[in-house]
Amino acid sequence: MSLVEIKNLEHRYGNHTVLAGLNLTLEEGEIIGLLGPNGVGKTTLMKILCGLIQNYDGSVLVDGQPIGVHSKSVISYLPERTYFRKSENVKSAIGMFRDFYKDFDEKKAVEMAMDLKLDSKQKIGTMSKGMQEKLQLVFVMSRKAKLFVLDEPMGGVDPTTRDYILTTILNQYTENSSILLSTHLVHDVEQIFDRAVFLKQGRVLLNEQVDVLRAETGMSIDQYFREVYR
Amino acid sequence: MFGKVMKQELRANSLLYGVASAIALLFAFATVINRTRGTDVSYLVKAPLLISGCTIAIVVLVILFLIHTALRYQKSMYGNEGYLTFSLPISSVELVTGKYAAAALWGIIVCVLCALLCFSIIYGAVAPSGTELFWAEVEKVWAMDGIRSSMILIAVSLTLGMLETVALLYLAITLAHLPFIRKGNGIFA
Repeated sequence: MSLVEIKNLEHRYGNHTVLAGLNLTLEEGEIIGLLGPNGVGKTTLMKILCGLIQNYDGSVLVDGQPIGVHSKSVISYLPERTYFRKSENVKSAIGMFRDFYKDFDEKKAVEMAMDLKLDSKQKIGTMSKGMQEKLQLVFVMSRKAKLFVLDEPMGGVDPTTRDYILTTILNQYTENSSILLSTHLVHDVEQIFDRAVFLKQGRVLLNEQVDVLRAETGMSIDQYFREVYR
Repeated sequence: MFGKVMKQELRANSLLYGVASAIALLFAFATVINRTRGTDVSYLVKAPLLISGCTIAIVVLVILFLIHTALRYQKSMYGNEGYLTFSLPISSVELVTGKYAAAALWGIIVCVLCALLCFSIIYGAVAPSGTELFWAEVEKVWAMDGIRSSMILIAVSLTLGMLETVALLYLAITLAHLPFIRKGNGIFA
């Protein structure tokens, strides 16, 4: 049984079709780069996987089950924006994750938050954007999820924060789980990918292991990205 | 999970409602204490201010509750916080009923505070020398046939009205975010 099985997935925003019969299978134990230009449907696909969009056509199975309570319990989602209340502090956010997620490793979250030198009572709304991104990543990666869905985790942050995010992703990754990561910073991130999925016109254009892709094309993933979407 | 949703909602609103409730209680107690300590003349100096304060507190509490309930639902379901809310491993029913239960509990607390403030306004307007007469009249009215059941019915209907209002607010905000309606159309809601 594959971790994710998507068949004939379609979704429209009004009259605009974003996903047009997308088929995709993801297996355990891989870091998958979900690549494509703006508007190609990466975020929409991730939102559907995480249960944020429910009006779609087609079949989406996560861990053998349709999107629902079980799939949300095995997926750890990092959206492209901060989702904590501004008045929430680190301690209360840890409490909330502990309440809702059985696989949340509180000890790991506390250790990682301490590495960021954060005051547990500091309000999230008073932190810089970069710090909020890091904190959110800490919470997401502190779960022992089967699938980590990271939507543009390095968008709009400085290079030091980008390095921190990459290191955290690699350090917390285990072979029992998979990471689905979308990014425009292909050059910075491609070294961690096991597989690259290219989307175009609402469908999967290419789904291949990065080593095979590099060998076949003689190009880096970044170069191939630029070639495909020229 | 329903309990956890309710716990999170209560925690999210506790500071705002806590402060508002504390201020309302302060006015209520001050109004009552003012008339029990002073002479007929001295109590008259502060009574109008305190009674006005109680009146304003009632209006502020009600408006605060309605606006905050709507905003809280809107932000937690359809704002950035919605990314967390909808990715939690809980069913839609548990999610909405948990939020509703928390809002209803705060609503009941607001209703009780308003009732207390109303009593403070009435009692605060009675001269200290008229205290015994006031309570005698209260006892007389309370003993009248049907008065008790009427007052209980009024209290129940006001509470049910508040609960209905919360449900209507939730429904309106949800409808305003349906795909075929312009997103977040507050006027339509």
